[in-house]
Amino acid sequence: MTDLERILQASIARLRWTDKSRRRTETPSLPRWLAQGESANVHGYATGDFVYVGNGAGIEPSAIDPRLPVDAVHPNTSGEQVPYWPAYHSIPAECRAAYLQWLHGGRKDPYVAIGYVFVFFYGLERRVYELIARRGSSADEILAIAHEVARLLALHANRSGSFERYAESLLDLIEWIEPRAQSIPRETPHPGYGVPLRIAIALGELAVAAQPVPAALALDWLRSIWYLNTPATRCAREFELLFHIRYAKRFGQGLFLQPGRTFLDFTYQPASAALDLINVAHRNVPDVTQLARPRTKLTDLAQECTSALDAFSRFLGKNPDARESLAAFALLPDELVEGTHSADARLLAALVVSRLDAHGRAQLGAGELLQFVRIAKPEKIAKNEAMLLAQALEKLGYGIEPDVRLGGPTFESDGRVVVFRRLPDCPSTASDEYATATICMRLGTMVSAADDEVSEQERALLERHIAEALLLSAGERQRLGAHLAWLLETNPGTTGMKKRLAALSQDARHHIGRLLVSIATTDARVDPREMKILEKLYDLIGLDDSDLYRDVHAAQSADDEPLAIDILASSSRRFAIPPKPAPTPGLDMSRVRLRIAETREVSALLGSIFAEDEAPVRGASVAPQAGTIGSLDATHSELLRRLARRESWSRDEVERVTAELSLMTDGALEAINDYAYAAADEPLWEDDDPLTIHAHVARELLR
Amino acid sequence: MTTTAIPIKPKHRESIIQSLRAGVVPRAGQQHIQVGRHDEVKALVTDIDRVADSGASIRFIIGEYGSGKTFFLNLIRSIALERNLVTINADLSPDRRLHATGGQARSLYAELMRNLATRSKPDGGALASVVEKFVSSALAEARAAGVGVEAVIRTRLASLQELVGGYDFAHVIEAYWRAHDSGNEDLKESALRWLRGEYTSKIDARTHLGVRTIVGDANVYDQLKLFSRFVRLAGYGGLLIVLDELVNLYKLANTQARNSNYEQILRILNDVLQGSVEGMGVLLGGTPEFLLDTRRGLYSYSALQSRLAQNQFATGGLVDYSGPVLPLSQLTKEDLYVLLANIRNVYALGDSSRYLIPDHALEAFMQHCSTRIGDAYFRTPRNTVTAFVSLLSVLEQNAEAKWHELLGAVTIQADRNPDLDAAADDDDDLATFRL
Repeated sequence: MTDLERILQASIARLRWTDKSRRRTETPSLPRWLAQGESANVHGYATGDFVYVGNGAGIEPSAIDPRLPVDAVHPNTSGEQVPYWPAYHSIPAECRAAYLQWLHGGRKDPYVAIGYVFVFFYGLERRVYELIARRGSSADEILAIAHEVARLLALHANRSGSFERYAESLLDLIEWIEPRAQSIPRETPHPGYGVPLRIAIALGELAVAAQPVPAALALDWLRSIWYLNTPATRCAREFELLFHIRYAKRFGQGLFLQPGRTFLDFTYQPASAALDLINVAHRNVPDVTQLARPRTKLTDLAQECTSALDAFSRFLGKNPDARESLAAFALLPDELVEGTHSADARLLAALVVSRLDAHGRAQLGAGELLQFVRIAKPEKIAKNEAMLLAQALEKLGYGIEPDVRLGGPTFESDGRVVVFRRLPDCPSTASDEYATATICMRLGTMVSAADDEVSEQERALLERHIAEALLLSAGERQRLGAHLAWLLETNPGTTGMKKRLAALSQDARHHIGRLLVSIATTDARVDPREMKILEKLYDLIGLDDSDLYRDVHAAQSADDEPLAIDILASSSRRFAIPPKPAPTPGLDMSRVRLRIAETREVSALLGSIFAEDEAPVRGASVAPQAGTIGSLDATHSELLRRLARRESWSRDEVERVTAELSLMTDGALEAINDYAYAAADEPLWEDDDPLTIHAHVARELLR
Repeated sequence: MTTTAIPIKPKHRESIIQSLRAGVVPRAGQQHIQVGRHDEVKALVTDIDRVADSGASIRFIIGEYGSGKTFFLNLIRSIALERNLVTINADLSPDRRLHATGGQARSLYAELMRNLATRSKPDGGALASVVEKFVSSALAEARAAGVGVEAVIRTRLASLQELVGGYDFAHVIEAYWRAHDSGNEDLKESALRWLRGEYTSKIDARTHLGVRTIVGDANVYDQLKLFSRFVRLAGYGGLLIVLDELVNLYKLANTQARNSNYEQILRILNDVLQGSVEGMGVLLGGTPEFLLDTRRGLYSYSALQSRLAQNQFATGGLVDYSGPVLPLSQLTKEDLYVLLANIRNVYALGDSSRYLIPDHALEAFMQHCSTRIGDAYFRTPRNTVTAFVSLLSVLEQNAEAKWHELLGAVTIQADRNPDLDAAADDDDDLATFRL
């Protein structure tokens, strides 16, 4: 209800009230208040404390008039005959019995009709009014009333939004009068009813004192203005922690608020129709809750936190019991890694640490790592299990080679892997340059496998050359080093590789050859050791030595090689700003630029040759039952048929169906609704979680 | 009096009532309460059709505080969604500008992307849907042709690569596909973060995604151009960009900062008028001083002034709806009457037998407001509407209550423009120097 509505409601009440009071004949005596611990006996019921007893007609709707009849035989517990503004003296005798019964039971029944709670609450309101009028003499009593209100609130808030608002508001009023009441624990605020007064006061006081807003208070403020979405409620603990961490990171000690020109004032709207509004004068506390900028900052931060938790949250949605698993751990935002509860993660970290060598690398058997992930089919390791390991290790600060995320093969359970302490910029996705670098490295080791004449030093030379020529970042070089260590350790066979190279067109092979040459000549000179490697590489690719000499000569003598210029022109945008002066003396940066431009062309080519398991496009694993619908393809038609079976789907359920059909959830839903708009002029589904299916549209589409 | 024959969905009814009660503009169902402004709506619908037909358009929606700019913008936005456009919208603020060097432009971009909406997801958050729709259709094509998905994606996005930043954009879309294919949630989230403009470090972007660039203050508009082409490749009609509260640029105290922002507007305006963008519509909402003030408004930037000047023949009640500036006429008493009648109609879900108050009560209500706050009650109708909705809510919940008994208790205050008393007090450039 808006404030305005409450005023209107109250005025309705007053209209009715004055009508009744006009009909009154005798002058009533004021009912007596039963203070804490007191009680009265009314028709055999103990009223308990905090009630008025006496004739309250026309004065106090909650007053229990002992003279009025009570129907103890038929107590009306359902409260059906209790009107919107109930009063003890005007409700039927059977309702009075139910009310007294509730009081007699200590006001504990959590299912009592809410109308009776209101009658009692009116009395509390009047007493608070009286105590405020007699300022100062009765702070303890007002505090006791606050505790009683808080107790009722906890019992009944979920049952009646109306009671919740009035009770919260009364607590606000009491806190304003009696600061000690602020220690009473209250529900976390929720948005829609404005910022709770205690938060507004706290924020205003901090603004006046030029003190920062602590994270916990900021979070309470946020909760009162922003609807928490699924990740923030499903992973409430993680959200809260992440919010605290990022809040501190972004705002240091906290947000500083500038006091504005408006001040807080507080109007209490009583629930009782017999009482008037109270307007409490402000205490020179500025109202900072309406300031747009800090609000935006908070909601932006909250949005960031929830999107960081999104993957984790969706995983928990599907696997509610797997909160402590390694899979859940792998999806946590980086900041939450340290405080993880995952035992698997800690064991994995311990294993790696125990095996690190002086260079921060550990050689491990794949089997040792795989015990940490549940394997569907023990004989073969699936891609997502390898990925899970890579992600979990990354969260712990380590990289792994081979890494499926960078195009590496999934490892065999008896294979070897290299785990290394990673730099912050160690890549988790291959850039074109990095992908090319690994392939060149692979070619290099193939040479060494073919005949053992490429020495360790030459390989190091190659490694340095590759890194420099392709402008790899420190993190990429580090990973490349680990990749080399893995190649040397496992020596993956060349089976098939030569054949695949041979199957390439002459043109493509020349491309690769020139790339290798350009890498070797980045420093504008070729020494005999490099020539030796190149000769072997050319041989491996299936090119003649004469090609090599021509290419090396061309690379050394001319920058205006037509091929390179073409490539440069077509891709100049990405490198519109030329790299700054050479980082290494002797490096010709214009050549470096050419290298990079060429790289991109070649990397796609190379990638397709060296991809270990070129995955064919997966078809739907579930065969569609019937034909296609309209312009939709078979799998989308099947999705439509399945969705049409129910009117409501949770997001997790939809994801399960789309996964079965090998569809992308959001894309498929969008496509289906597009079709629905085209065919029926209405959407098939609405809302996100849960998804609502319009049955009439479904019928029309399936007709 | 029945004012509209369109059936009203209960969901829209709730949304309209809740929004109006809170004094904000409804995000759905505006058609049920829209009053007048027929020519303005028609002009904008023509714009939308032009955008959907590979054209471009830009409009400055100019109106006084409280005259219904935001309502109008939302209405046009929902029309655009109906026409299968993708819309993005954001309010400008001191922290969200078109041009900046301290991250405020990137922050505007991020907000726009968070609010990205499609017909199926009109409330925003539809970025993943758009990307997935594109990838899904590439996937279907790849399946049918028996080729690799990445190859199809690369071919389809080839046209993006001629635009600034297109190479990395395409790379990120490919990464999203790879992430889906391999179940790599981290990579998926990284791709979306990049597209939403949430990366602030190039090193992070390189590490997570293998790209060298990020969306930053300097390339926001280029990125929007890329995106408008991308949504067309994904099968949508085009992109409608809705920016509101442009008065925040006017309020920038620093002349250079203000002019840099106006320069961005000029860039957009030129691109649109010269036809160098396709499938992109831009709506900018602002107050008259934002446009007309020759010291700090758009008119202070001479290149814009000449392009935005009103048609000199359109005076004395004649209006030209073809220029980029669209002045919103003030609401009249009669408009407000129809608006109130429409709200009453929404309450009754279009059933005139369930009207909570008779026609003459509408007049009495207006009379009551008029005596309290004068003409402001229809010129800046926000508070009038809020009070009216509250009155109807009480009547609905209390069958025994009589409207004439309640009318006297309706309190209403004149709407106050918060911009007026906050004119230049938020110079954040200075604030950052605080020790």
